[in-house]
Amino acid sequence: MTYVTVKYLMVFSQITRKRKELIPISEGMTLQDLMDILYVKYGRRFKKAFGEDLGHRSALITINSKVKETPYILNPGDEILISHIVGGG
Amino acid sequence: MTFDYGGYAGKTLRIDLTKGKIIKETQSKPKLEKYLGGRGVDAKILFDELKPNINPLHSDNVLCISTGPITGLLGPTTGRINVATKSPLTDIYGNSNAGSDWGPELKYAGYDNIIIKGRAPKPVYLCIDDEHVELKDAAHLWGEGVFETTLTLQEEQRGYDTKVAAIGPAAENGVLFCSIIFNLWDAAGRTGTGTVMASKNLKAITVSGSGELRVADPERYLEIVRDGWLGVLNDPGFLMGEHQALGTPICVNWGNAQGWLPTRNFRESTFEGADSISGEEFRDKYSTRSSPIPGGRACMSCPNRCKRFGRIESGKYAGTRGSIEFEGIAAFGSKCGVSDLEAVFHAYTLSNDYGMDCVSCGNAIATFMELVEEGVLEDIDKLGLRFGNADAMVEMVHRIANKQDKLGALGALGAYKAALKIGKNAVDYTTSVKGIDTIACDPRVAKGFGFTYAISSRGSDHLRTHVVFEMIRMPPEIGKELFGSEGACDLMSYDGKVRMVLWHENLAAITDSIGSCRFMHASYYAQYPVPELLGKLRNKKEVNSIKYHDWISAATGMKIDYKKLLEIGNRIVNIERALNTRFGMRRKDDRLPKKFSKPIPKGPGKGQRFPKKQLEKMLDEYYTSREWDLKTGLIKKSELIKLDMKDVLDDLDKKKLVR
Repeated sequence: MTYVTVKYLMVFSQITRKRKELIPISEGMTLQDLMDILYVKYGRRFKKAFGEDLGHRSALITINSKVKETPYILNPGDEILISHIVGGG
Repeated sequence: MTFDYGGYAGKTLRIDLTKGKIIKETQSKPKLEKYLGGRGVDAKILFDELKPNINPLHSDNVLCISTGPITGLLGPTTGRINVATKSPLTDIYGNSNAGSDWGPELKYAGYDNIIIKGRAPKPVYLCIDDEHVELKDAAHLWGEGVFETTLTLQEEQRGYDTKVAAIGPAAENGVLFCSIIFNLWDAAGRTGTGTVMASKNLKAITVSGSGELRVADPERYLEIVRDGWLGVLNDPGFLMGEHQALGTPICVNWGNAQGWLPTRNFRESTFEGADSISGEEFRDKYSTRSSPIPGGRACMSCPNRCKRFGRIESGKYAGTRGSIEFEGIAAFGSKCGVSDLEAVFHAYTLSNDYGMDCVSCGNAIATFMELVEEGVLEDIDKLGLRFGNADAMVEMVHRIANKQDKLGALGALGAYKAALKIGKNAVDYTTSVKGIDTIACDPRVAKGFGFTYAISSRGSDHLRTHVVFEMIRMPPEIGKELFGSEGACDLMSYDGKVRMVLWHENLAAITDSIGSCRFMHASYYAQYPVPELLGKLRNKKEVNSIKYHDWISAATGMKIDYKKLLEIGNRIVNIERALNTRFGMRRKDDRLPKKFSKPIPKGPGKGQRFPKKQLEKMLDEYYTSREWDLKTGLIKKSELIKLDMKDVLDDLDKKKLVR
């Protein structure tokens, strides 16, 4: 079995009640497939937090520190970060 | 008698501590029309009343504390207070700003601002209880921490209804970067305003107010404020809960992911221990039901609730309780290479109780750690001062506050003055601009932030502009429309950044002068015209926004449109420039530390730097837009005439300080 690491920042860690987890992947699995698994696992609140209607402030998903589109095929050991976009501190 | 303009309380309190005299003056209408209040009025008072060459700790230094016309009114964030003086840390214009509800209370007591001069013969505190204002003995408070001082004074007066601004023992000891802390938790942290207050033997200012404020056009005012509230509540950043989630510590993991989290005194910009000192970690471990304010706290009339509180229940630092901010976490955490959040939280709380600026304190320690590692400074007090040593970091906080032993006394000077004293090439390891050290964002990655550090009137600092615009993936069309380049929306691009900085700088001057919060115009971008531009892009029919010009107009009765608003912002930037010109600041001082011309070694910012040549190019564009002399950085006569600043022009002209 191979895995990717998913890290949850900000409200995502609140909703999932975890800051990171290992998710098993199968060959050819895409980022979209992974997101579909997470949407089911964590429910409506999790999906809503992505804020698709928030335009530039919608959630950001990076893989190994780079923004990837959903057709991206996952590789074992990939680190996926799910975060909002912030700047004010 | 009510003051002609709405919004204002209408009176200034003038305190001469040497003579023990208290005078109540009516506000100057022309000054308010030109500078509004807060930061703008404070800078003008300093220009008019401060002898430029005095030692900042001399009794003749002037300490100004001011609210603005919307402070204490209904509206999205109306709780800010401004403090200004000649800084003992930088020897130029010193200024800081805090939240809380102290400012509103001052206005309810009937005063817009306080001007403090002289030195009391013995420790006193200023007690303001509506019309009754007096200086009281503070012998029993001298030497006490900020928390004890605040709670004692509240107990002696009207309990929580009395709001307290206090300094701590570090200020009394002459540490150069001390804060004034408002009502326990909110610091006017930077540039050493608390040190100046201590030099005047003034331990605290208590305020209890029961009066009311009026606005010029109540009906219009409610419409404008409603529009502003909806502007904030519908802002995409607010909707996704930027600050409500974790407070400002939300930036730790995010800054690390973006590659701008200062690490080991800016050697790097990503920290392997970021998650251990993150806002998420603080929430999960310390922001418990037993923390002082478990749900977090907002300042006066703020929907944002960005203050986070916690408590350490067990272990070495058990009993530590208080608030925490991103800047403090970075200062004692990643900058010092410390990944122990309990040590960081403890150091931060200590720093607040001693009354020190956490940024300057943490930066001094981080600089010393690097100097010791590089062999430039000897660990003379045998503390094991190395990056990552949490015990040494905490011990240094105590030592600096008490100026204990050699390193403590050195640290009390702040990183830059300490480096000058150390000699050799120690200054090359500091991150200071105009004598103050850099906040928690690596300017080699965030170019707009970097340019801001170079030109900021109080030295290396982001809050003169707060150009978060470049960090939040704004649609490029907005960058093009507002600042002439899509690059303005790209963190690591230089394109459009000068215009972006200029706009933010003018607007930030307004925010600080009216008594509102930076997060409303930069973070959430609820300020006109950004929501309108975003709405247009998304074909939205109804758009709400904060319109400072309408807000100030409805509150005061002045007639201010958007163009005039930016002109006032520009005037405030120029009065600060004029003040700094008299303190000897020129183009050569608008610079970035040598450290930032070296490339970042790893992480998302790998290879990024801020070359001197690039900075000079940007300065040319900036000075040209500001109508400042390209060679010297002095303001041009034509600009001062255009901004109706003839009195300032006449003064500078006499001293040959204009072009």
